[in-house]
Amino acid sequence: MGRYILRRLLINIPILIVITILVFVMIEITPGDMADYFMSEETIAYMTEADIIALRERLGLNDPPPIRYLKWMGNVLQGNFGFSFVEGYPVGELLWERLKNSGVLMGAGLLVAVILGIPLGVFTALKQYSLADFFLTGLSFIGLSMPAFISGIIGMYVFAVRLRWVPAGGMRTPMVNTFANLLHHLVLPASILAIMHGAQFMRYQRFSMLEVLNADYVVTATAKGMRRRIVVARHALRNALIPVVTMIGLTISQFVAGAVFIETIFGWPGMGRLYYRAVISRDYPIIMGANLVIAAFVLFANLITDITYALIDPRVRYE
Amino acid sequence: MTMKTSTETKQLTTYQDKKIESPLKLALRRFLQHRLAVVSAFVLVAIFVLCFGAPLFTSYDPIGMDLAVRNQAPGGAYIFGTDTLGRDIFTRTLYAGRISLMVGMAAAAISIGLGIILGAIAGYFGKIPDMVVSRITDVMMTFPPLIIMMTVAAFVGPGLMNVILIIGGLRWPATTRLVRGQFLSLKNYEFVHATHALGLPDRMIITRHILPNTLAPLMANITFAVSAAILSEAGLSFLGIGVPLPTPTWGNMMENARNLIILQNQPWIWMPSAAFTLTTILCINFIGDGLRDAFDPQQLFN
Amino acid sequence: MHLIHSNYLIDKRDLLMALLEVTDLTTTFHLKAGVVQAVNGIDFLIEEGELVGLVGESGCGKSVSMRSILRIIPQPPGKIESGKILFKGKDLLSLKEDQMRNIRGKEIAMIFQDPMTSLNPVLTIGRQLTETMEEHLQLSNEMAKKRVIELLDLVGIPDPKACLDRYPYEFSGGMRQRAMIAMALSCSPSLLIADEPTTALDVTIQAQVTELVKSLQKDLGMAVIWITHDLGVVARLVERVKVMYAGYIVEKAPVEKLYSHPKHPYTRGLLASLPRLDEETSAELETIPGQPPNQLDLPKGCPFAERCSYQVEKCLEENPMLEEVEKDHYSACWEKDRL
Repeated sequence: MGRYILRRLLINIPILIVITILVFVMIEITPGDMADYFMSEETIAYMTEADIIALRERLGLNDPPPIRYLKWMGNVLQGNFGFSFVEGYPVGELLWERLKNSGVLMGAGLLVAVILGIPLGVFTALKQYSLADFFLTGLSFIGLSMPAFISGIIGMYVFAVRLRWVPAGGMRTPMVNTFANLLHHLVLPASILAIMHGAQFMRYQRFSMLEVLNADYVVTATAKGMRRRIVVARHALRNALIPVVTMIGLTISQFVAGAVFIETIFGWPGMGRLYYRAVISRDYPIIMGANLVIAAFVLFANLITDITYALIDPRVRYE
Repeated sequence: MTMKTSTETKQLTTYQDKKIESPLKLALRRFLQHRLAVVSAFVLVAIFVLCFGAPLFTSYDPIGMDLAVRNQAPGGAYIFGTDTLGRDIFTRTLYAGRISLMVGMAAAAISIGLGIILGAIAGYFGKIPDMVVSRITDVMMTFPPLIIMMTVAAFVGPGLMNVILIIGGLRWPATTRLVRGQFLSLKNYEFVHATHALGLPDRMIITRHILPNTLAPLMANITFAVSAAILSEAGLSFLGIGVPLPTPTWGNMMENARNLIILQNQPWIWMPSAAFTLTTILCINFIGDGLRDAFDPQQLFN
Repeated sequence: MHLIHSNYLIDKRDLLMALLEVTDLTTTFHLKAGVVQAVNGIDFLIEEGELVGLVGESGCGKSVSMRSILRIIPQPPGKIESGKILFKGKDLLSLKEDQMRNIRGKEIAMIFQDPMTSLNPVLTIGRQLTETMEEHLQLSNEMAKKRVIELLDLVGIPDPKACLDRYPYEFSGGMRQRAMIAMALSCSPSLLIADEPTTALDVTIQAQVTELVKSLQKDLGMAVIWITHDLGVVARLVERVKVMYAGYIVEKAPVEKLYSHPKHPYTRGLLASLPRLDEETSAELETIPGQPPNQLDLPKGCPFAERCSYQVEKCLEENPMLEEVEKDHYSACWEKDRL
């Protein structure tokens, strides 16, 4: 098991490096660089050629690209992600802060999606062709076709603007630092983030469960006289969860995309919104750092998936 | 035993007739049995007619503003009301649909094309081409596509063509995986070995002999690619980095809802485009579902 | 004298209460394409401790009829339309699901064709065996584990203690089937239904498993119904044979009689298609022409009529009932006397 985890971990490192190189190259080939930020139309009138060269020197822009990449990488390995002149903060500090906030939102969204999706999937599979199955499966189809930005604005309009059940945005009421207040702000965006994926988990769980319920070993368990509850929970569900766990792992990267929209709509101070703002204002240090952090986050989620997978399926551990 | 009635005989003959139906006819018949998919196809056609025949249904200009009639609520001369610049929302929604649907289809065409080419090369030739394509696919499928699209979109700048190229150029990994898998299994079939024996060139084996056999599983993938592309455009435009104003698209019309005042007081500005987008996506997904069932050989008897 | 003698025989059969008595069992499957008539009113008796063979080609209803006895066919689409299944005097079809559960695994156990898929891949062998005993015999986990080790030893699995924590994928096919047998025996059932338990195994392993079941049957005194499509296996294993075709039992007889004087053309065809070592090897094996009838739409006459060389007009009109040809030998054929 330890070796299995280590191997998975090592596979991910080259992927991380490739992603940062790709982002770096992309920034390189687009015209303009960080120096532009200091050279607005007003300031450029006061700058001499020497000033500009000095500025570029200070920002480390005169080195050839590979050297700059390696310097950046070296700094990152020492925990220094650079400084964002747009936000006025060190990038590392900013990323850590926002990552925590996004983690709260995505964690809650994932939790809601799993808590709703898996049991409903099992339930509809057990009651296949019933009215409840028909209704819930139909509902899941609508949920599946509902992108986060549409469910986001509709949810905001209905629950925050019209019904006024929850605040219309933000993560906390200023000066109020209670868990209840956070929860109050969290419930709507997290639920909306959960809609699409909950529907997806449910459909997948239902499909997988239906397949497993027909498996020979389920017939064996029934023929042994095991209680229906045990047949379903011990024999069928554990096997049916194997593909679902993989699928949940693969969805984590889509959660990041959903979070971009939800955070933008609800003013949630997370990675998604930070990244969006960085992209709009071409805040290169943040773009580089955020890509690395997002990639690491997704790969970490994949690692957790692989471990869970191995815990459920003994055959994986064996290989 | 029991007497065989005439209806039973009839059932028996139709049951046996199924076996000699051509696969395409069989799939079509099974698709038509999927009631939701058929209804969706009709609704989708209606949306296309409304959008591409927009001048027939409205006489307003989608872009020209009329400041005298700003922020009109629905009713009267403007059935969906007007926006903050006095443009008719109904008209804009229809013209927006043209762009959104076109961008969606064009981007999907690019991603499917790329997906088929890369998948075919990887699956057919194996070895190094396969390794290169598979690794790139893996990385791209790990990373959230929206993040890449946002980054590229922000760097290359807004624009209709850019949006199509970005979406088309980044959405191909799913198709590639599917086609690669199909090619991997098909290339070991006898009929492919036979084409090798005949000395046919690879290009011909790929396009004439293997590719047609992957079309059935591809059908559903194509429809889902279109809905994904439409959603990508809408998402990018919603964030203000997609198709630039004043050209209306469903996405940039919904962008208005990011303004809390419009969200609250003028819901007619963003609701129609949201409704059209949702309906379109739902219809395409239902059709895709119907196609998948229709082409699924395992579903024959259930 | 003669009369008294036969009366005595009848009385003896009545006194020896049958372990299992199936009457008019009919099972159907309701699919979109129509109703599949899988089992069509079959009757049979199983005595305590006897080894019976149930023979027929795939799809003839042998598996479905046995699963109907345990009531483990998927419902829907399956449906037990009618019949009576008396097991130790209790009608299984009228039992509540909870009572039925106490029959399954405890009184009647079943082993299946494919040991690769019949064991749960994510549970250890030990867990899959202990849970049955914990359920039916109310054994503690400790006790159940001890008994599992004995059982695994009994079915010839080496190092049974270590096997407790192994998963099915770590076992070969033959070993898995042995584990399945151990699982079936764990609650000492009075009837074991073996559904083609050797079909998926290598030939050498087949013989081992067959011998194992036979010796266990003798030692434990349980009755066994051995389902197979292979008359050759049945010959050296069982005492009595029932032959099924298209959901009907078409012939039943003690094994020697069935082999020496088959009284149904279908049985005859099956026997002729067996390779025999005692005849000249150049003789070509016979085959039965045609296909079994479509069970979505059975003919009104004898289901075998279309493939039968003894066919007469009556065969197409009316389906023959199972009738006694001679003592203990039954056949469902209009022309049985010509055979």
